[in-house]
Amino acid sequence: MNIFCLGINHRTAPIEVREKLWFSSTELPFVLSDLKEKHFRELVLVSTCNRTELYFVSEQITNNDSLWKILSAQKNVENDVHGSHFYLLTSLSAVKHLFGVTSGIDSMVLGDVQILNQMKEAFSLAQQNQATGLLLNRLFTTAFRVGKRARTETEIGEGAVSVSYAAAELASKIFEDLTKHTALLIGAGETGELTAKHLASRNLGNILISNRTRKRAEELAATLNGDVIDFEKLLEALDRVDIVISSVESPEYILKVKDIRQKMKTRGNRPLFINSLKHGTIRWK
Amino acid sequence: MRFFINLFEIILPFSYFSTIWVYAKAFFQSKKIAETVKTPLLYLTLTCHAVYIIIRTVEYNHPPITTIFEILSLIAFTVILTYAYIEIKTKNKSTGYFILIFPFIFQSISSLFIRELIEVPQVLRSYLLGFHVSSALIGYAAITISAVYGFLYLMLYHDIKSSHFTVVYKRLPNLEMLERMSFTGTLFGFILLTIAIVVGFIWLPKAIENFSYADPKLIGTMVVWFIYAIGLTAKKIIGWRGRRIMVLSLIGFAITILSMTIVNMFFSGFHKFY
Repeated sequence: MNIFCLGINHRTAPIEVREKLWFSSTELPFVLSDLKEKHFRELVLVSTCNRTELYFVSEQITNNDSLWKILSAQKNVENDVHGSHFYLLTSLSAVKHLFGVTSGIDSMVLGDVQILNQMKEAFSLAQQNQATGLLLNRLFTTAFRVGKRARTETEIGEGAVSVSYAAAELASKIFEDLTKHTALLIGAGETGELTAKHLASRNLGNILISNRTRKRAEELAATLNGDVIDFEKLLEALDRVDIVISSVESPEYILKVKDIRQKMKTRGNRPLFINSLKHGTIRWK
Repeated sequence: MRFFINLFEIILPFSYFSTIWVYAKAFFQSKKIAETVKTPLLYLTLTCHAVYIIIRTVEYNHPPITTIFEILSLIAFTVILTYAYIEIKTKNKSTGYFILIFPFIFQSISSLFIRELIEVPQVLRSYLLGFHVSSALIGYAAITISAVYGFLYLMLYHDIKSSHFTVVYKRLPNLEMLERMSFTGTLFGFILLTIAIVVGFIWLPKAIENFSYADPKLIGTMVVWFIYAIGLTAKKIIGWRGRRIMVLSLIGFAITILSMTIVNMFFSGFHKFY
């Protein structure tokens, strides 16, 4: 019996591939029970915008080839992904990797503060679906402790790093003076709110907020002194903004490259910075 | 006097080298001491170079524009002077290493090969020539700086696009600023080059007996001028921005360098006095 980690992340696969293997929180319970039933003794499936990782306990050492196919079969994407996109870690290396992930060392934004919560959510979801057992319960609780200790005892968590912070920093690496620019925030959730605050601290000129449920957008707009845009009228708003930050998870694409190209013409090619913090914002092809 | 001129010819390349070395230390390794020392060092080098040019002009009784090596030294001086101005104006001190590499190269070549003309041709003593040469020189310096900012823009652009955040991302200012600096450089360069060309066309046929419009140097300069003209038109009329304009700026610079070096070395024409 051994502990394994099969995964795909921002270092091993491009966004188009990661997107295909992204499991939404509604899909996860079905996938967990299906995999548990057919293949693994214990398992936890983590799926964020930068990684999809399957931690599992298995009797025999299975080879990588068939494993990645098992995972991609859940999304019917065996033909779009390739074995080289995946990594398979065993025993000690799998454990080390998990500790690295919960500590934020493995994140795209070093020291990311959100990953620990995402891992906790993934783990509790697996627990709720009776997918975990003695080994993984022990392993994950230890990993969370490691993550917490890394943040309190080392300097990795200094400056409250997150994708929201990085998105705001990225905006100020593109535009010289944010006071002259307007940002459009798609999604008024926690990540969206955090991003708005980081942008505001860099003296952003104006902010527009759009959310599926308008009420939430109005609430956030009130605290940030911004305006609300109807979710259906997003495309029109692209004429008025220079920064678009999306933090919604969506099964359908919100913006299409074709439309953005069109918009760039009416904008006179003024730069438009679009940053998607979650999967499902833009269809590139 | 001659002793000091020779001394400065040796000191200057080293002075430039230590300046860029300190700027590099500050950029790539964020060394505290380098951060504090770099700007005073920049002014020291700038002062040395100014003194060198003044005593050279006084001693030989003509501005240092009679040979390509004198001109290279003058371009180096113009670049470092402009950079010092940019540092004061933008309060951004991070790009020095990339800019100052050029005056270092120019000055080193100049120091290695510079010789005094025994007899300066009469034609090189005209004031119109001084005007022609100085506008061309400042123009070339502006183009050099524009190209460096264009290059830095592309590096930062690449970092952002590929989500691969290197030291370039951490230390450089923003894309908009780099684009603006590059554009200002191009605009200045273009205007000054235009002046140099116009003055050249008025003055050259009168001053030089074997003047020819098919001279390689003239053609080279015209090609450079057209590339920048196309770039500026594309920006103004078609609305090109960002990366494309920066690539054009780099192409313009490459052809400028080719025109200055290859043409000067391998072709003979009237535009050569040494």
